[in-house]
Amino acid sequence: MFGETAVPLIDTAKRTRKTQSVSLYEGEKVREILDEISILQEHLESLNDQDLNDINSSEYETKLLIQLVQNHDLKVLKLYHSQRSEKIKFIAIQELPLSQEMRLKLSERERIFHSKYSDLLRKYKCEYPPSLNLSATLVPPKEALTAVRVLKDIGDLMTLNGYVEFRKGTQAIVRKADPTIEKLIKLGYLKIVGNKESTIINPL
Amino acid sequence: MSRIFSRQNQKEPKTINLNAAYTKEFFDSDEDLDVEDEFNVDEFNINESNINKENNVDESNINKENEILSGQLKILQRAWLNENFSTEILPYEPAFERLNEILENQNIRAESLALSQETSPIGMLLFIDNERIKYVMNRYKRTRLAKIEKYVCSIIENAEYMARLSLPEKEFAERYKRLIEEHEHASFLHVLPQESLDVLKETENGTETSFATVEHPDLNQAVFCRFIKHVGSYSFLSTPHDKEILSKDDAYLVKYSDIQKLLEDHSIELI
Repeated sequence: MFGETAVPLIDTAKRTRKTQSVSLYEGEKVREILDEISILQEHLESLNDQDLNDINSSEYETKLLIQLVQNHDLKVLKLYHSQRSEKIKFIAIQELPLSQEMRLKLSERERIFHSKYSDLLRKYKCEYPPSLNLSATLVPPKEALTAVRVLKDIGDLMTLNGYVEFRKGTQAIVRKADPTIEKLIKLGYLKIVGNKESTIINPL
Repeated sequence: MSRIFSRQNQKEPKTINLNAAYTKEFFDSDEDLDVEDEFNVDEFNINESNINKENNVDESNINKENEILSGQLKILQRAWLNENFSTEILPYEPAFERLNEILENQNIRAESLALSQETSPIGMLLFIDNERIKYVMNRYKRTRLAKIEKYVCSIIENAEYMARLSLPEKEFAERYKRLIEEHEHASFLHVLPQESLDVLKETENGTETSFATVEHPDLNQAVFCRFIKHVGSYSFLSTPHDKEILSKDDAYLVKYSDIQKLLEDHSIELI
């Protein structure tokens, strides 16, 4: 039936809509939809070749239906790709590198998109006030300082509080808004400990 | 005593350096110790009053700066919420730039306080206050950026929307549109014959638009708004025959297109 090839892709898009991770790129299904559009286009052209006077109403309806299905297929493709690129953009704006697992899930074209979008953000940040960090986590700040536990050896680092030695297993009190610290937390080198939210005991 | 009188008679500038009391001239003088002590005390008093004056000037400057800061912050917070709840992109708020300038001064003050006293409560309060201001500024920029990305095609096609963007935002919008078109073309559109794309262009609302144009701001979307000014008798666009008295702090749930003009006049805020 017309347009059925697009259904699995719609299901995938729906299923992964609310997840943060990116699913494996379904290149095969994308190709099937593209083939369907091309076949429908050939069919449409064969109808167009006929003399306008010879086309009866049922053929006219078929023509209209083909156009609708083509439109639907293209919209599904666009939706699927835009949903994936939204997730890629979210990774890029946090200044996170693509993990090996993620690289395997993305198509070649999406990997290029990630690097080009990161470049675009970098250019935009050049115009951004230096005291602000566009990639900062969008959580309202509650305290200026926070205790962090070092999960992997980093060595000496220049932070806003001066040089701090980060050795595995140790703890340090650092400025929460420090871009270096934020990046290390995102990358999994540091872990926030002992802030008020985590020490609150549930009375129930 | 004569020296003091002579100094006063000469009407020297009020600011006298404390070090002047220890100059060679002072120690070499033949005056009695008592006189010297008196001179010293007098000079110190003058200095103390000057220091107080300078402190007062500094404090009044800081107070003025704080007043401007809280005023600009309020404007930016309102702009951020308006931007968040409105469907179309709103004019760029210049309070962002002003706030950034004040914030830099405050940052320097907080840093110097933190350096002098690591655990100074005022320094810590300033830090956290700065972080809160930065948070609002960041959220404002990120909200605008997300909106530009969402409606990039309709913004670029509409000159009025383009005029609402700042210069870096305009550049970002143009580059982003190129990137998205390039990505879509390379991902799936390049395989398709041009004819099939042409057919789709014609079928979209009867007008020829590029395939990428899918999302337009929905001006009929319902929004919550609160009046921040007394407007008086007013009829909304969708109900032109019904007049309503709109006064300050009234809250309404209306179509966005109905209150578009009021939002431009800063008569309402979106909530």
